[in-house]
Amino acid sequence: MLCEICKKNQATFFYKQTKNGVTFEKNLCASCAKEQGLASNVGLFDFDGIADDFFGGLLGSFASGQPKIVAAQKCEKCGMTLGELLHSGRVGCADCYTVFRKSLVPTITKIHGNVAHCGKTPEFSAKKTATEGKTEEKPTQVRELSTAEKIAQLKAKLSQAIEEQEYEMAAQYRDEIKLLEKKLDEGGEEK
Amino acid sequence: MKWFNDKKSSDGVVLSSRVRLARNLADYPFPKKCTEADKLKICNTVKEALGAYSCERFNYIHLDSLSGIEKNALLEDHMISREFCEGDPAGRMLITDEQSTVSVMVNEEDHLRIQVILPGLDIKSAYKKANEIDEAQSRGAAQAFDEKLGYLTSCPTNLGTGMRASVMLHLPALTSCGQMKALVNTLSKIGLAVRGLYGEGSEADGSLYQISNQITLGISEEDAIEKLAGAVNQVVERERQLRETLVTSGGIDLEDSICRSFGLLRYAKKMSSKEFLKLWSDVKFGVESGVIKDLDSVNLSKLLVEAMPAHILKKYPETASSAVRDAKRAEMIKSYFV
Repeated sequence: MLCEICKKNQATFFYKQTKNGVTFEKNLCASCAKEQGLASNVGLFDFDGIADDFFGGLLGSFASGQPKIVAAQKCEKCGMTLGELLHSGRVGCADCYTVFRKSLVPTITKIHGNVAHCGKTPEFSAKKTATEGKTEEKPTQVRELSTAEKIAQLKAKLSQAIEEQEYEMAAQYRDEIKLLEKKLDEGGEEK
Repeated sequence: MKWFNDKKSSDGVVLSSRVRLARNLADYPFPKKCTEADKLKICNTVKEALGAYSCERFNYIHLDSLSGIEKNALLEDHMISREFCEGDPAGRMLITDEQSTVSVMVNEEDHLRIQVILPGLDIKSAYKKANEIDEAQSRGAAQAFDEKLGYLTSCPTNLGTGMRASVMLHLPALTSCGQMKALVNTLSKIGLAVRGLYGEGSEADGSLYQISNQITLGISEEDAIEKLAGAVNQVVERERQLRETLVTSGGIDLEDSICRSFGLLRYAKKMSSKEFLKLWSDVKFGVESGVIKDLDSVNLSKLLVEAMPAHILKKYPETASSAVRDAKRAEMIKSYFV
């Protein structure tokens, strides 16, 4: 796997932090990790200063609140940073759910299970949202991101179609699933 | 009429039912990231929407116009949350209806916390009412909503329906038989939470508990309410069975302890709120189990709320010191039983 920052070197450093139920994960190469204040550059035989560097780096990153990389991720609409989100467990606006989706999904799943909303839909708000170009993107974006869920949905439809002997429909579902799975494999969506 | 002024709140195991909907307007960041000017705009938008689309008449109260005592009294009434009571009042508004069953907190953790509280076990009616207000509000301004995540809220624990339904119960038998811990565990397994009298982190003084739904995403409002009501009915049934057992097996010892509590409540000259809660619980149990007779007409829920510190302070401003207040409380309680 390539480093998620420079996208050149092999990622050898896996960073994961969970705080207030919000998870942050990143795969980085050693130099980018150091750059972000996540690891210290200690040579294999460089015993002098190993402890200092290691703990210093560790403490530094926590003393200054959060590692640079965590603090850097930011919601443009409300200015909420991931560091702040990790600290408070609260998002700053509706867009945060799109920006920090990856960090929030484990929490949401842990609290509610791997499910989608199935209650009331605001009749008037939905209409208003649909006529306003900018706000319209939001629900669409979140929906499009869950390719894996689309596959699961299609698989359910596929088995139902087979059961009901609707083979033409079944073939269509099968093709759609194949297409989505290919997209997923090619890295169309972060796993 | 506030829930505790209705005698229905005093007639059984369940004191009140409450439904709260968390909503945010689509056009603004959530309150934590809002400027004060934005917060005031939100207050106005909500006020206009309710004025235009609801046939109810509401009172609109800017929170910074209330004193600390008044806010605390509202907290004791369960009309506002602790966060709303203690946080920065700037840009916050409380909207209540004329009957004081509805309270909308504007710019609490979310732009809107629509809350309806009714006496006794009646979650469905509370939801119906809250939903009417939600409908009226949503006609006036678009709400933050996502098809997959439902209503978008400041805290991910409220995503989905944004609905928290809770029922307040008096469970002296389950408490004294040491069964609360097991009950809390069982209920948590089916997605229901048990808390003390004043919500999160508060102690269950007076054997008073709130049971509420924990999960808001992936379950419809109706199903969540049905699940909660079903569980509450079972808890009430178990509490009643245990009370019967306690009364039959307790004999004169139980009667003695209940009557002693009643005596203290009635004749003491000084009473702290902690002691009051314990005695109140014994007396309520005594009335409902037939140990104490001729008290059926007394509204014990009203007494419960009115004996709380901020209520006494509000009524008798001279009771700023707790020693004076304890004397006033004892006097006030006594007047209930003449």
